[in-house]
Amino acid sequence: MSKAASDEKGLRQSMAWIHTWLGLLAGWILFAMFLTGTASYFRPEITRWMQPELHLAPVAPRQAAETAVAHMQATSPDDLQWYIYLPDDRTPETRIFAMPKPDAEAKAPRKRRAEINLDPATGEPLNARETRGGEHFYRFHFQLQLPHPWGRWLAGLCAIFMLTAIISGVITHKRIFVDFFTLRWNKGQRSWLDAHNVSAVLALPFHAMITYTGLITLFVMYMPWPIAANYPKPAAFYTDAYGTEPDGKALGKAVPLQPIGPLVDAASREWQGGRPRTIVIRNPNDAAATVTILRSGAERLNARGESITYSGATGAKLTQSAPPGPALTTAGVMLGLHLGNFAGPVLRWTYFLLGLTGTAMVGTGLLLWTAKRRKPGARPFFGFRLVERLNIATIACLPAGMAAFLLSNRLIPAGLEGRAELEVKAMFWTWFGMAALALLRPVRRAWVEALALSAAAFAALPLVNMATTDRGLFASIAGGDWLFLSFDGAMIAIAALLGFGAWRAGQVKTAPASKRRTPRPTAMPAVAPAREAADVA
Amino acid sequence: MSLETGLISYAALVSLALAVKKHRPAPPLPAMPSPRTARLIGWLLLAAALIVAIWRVGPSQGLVAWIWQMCVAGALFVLLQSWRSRLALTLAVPSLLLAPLLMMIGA
Amino acid sequence: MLGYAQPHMPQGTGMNRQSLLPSFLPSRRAWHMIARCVTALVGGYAAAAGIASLGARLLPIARVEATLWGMILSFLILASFGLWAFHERSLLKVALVIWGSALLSAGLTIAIGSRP
Repeated sequence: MSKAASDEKGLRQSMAWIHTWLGLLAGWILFAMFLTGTASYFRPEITRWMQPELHLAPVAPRQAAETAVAHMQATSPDDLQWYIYLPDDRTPETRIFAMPKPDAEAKAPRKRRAEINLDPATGEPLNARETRGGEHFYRFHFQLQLPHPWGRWLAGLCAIFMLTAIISGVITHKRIFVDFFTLRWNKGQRSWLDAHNVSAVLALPFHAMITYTGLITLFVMYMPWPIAANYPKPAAFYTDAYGTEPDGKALGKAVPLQPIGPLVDAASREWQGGRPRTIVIRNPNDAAATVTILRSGAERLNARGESITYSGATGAKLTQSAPPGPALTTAGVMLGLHLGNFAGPVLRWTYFLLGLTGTAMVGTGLLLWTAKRRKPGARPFFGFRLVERLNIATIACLPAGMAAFLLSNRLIPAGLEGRAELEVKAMFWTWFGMAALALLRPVRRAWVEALALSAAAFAALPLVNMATTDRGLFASIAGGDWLFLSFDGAMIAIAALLGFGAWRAGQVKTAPASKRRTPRPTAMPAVAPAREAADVA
Repeated sequence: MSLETGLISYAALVSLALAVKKHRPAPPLPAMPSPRTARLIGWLLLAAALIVAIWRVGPSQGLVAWIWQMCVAGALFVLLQSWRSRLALTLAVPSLLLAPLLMMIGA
Repeated sequence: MLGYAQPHMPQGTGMNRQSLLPSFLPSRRAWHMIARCVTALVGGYAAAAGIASLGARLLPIARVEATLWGMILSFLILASFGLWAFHERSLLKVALVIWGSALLSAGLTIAIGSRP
């Protein structure tokens, strides 16, 4: 063997080794991150589904801003800072919270007031069931329900493992283009390898993007050192990069706040019709009041919006965010690509399917690890049994937990105190409880039963929704309620997918190697076994 | 809406698959280009899908929509092809016909 | 089956040698593997942070831009070090290069000091 060829073989071998072990170590958490992250592409929609009593008509940003400011003037006119998140196409309500002035006597740490959701048309606080909504899946997918900052660090560690696994996987997989369209069923280990390859290779641009940009979303936390190298005071970096204003002091001279409507319109004009998303008002009703309006990231790839600051006393424009340089634009676009806020309905579903492909890639990778090491007849070693059980716990039981979160939203009384926490608990009790119960069953049965239970939980969602709300499937069809209709449809589709999985898991029992259905001669002629063996390494 | 990009990409990927010997169906389909032509058609269709996407949503979002929808089209094609190979290949025709229809409705 | 029956680093880590240590202690080979993992992860992170910081400090462009480029590219550096740490057979070479670049880049960055 020539030196170059042996070097290449050595590289491929070491990369295969790394790929296997990194993928295994991070696989279970990555599966959960991918699945809940995929659900998060519908974060506002899930929240809306979880508050079925709300029926809000869309309202223009200007009106929402006016009603919100009126509400805050009436409730807390002397606060230090007001935050107003305006409604948009996907979120119908206005979200506000206020930061009170530091209390000199109490010496208590400055705490922000509770967040309130307003009806954008009237400015009245909304009366809906308490829930975390889609925010829960979103937070879980990078905080993993662990105390800060451990969840984020663990998620970051898994993301860097994923990035490394992607690179080593590409180097290992030498037949990318030969096997590009190849997926063979009923061939045991070979099928899992096909499925892993196809889900990885066909959506490779997405996987690479989502992993790298995932790291970028929290890069200030993961990699703050370049900031320290360039800025004696990190605050200056945030001012440079994100345009956060240095805190202005109140003058103590009362001047009524300018009407917000014209300022919103002015900002929108500056952005050629761009939509304002967030309004931050500092020192309201003071001569030094400022009104900062941030642009929505929902219409452009770059998720870092521009901002304009006006004087709250005179309405004059004070500052405007500078046009971003290439690096800032790159970071903003990476963030935008990860969040997908720019995506309209078709592209949003595309994102969702790509996320599922990523989930499938991680899941098939985990299953491939066991498929390769399964020896018929022999008692499996401890590590094997551990991996097998963790696979069941993650792949088959997590979906049931997610369904339980949604089911509990309908089953826990709407007025119950602390119900939002109970919904979250329902997810984890179901998930881990099912995983524990699955230990009592033989592996094959555990797969079938856990997947079937997950499927049943999702299938129950449209029924429970119909029984507990007036927005059931038939009402949605009759009333053209697209959100609830799509939600029910998605739940049925997910139930079908999980049910299919349960059915397949039950079938494989007879013999993984036997060819139940001989592949059609049209589909794929057999590949030389030696070449297969080389690739399975 | 920009589903056209995905539909054209699907046809493009089918065409590219037909250019590979092991993916060509054994009793040939009623109308099937030669491998060389299939490859050429495939690449041209991919380019067309990109142009359509850019035309619909502009260069930056168009490029993103094109890549993402191409990935999903590929995954769907492979899944379908592993189950009903001939159906998966034949579907290229309706999906290619549907694309201009959607464009006309949308434009 | 790679990584299961026959890991990649047999020569450098001395897996074939009979261990003289009691069986409940990690073998020599296991210690090598632990050292390699720590070097790849902790050392790799330190090296990526150091190189990204040094680059951000020295790039002759606006400091916010230089800082951001350093932060954006640091994960690529980390992933490359991580992969190389397991590809290179000699643990000594891995440790020298990774910890060396971490110390060198971090030391230089500190010596130069923050931008005025």
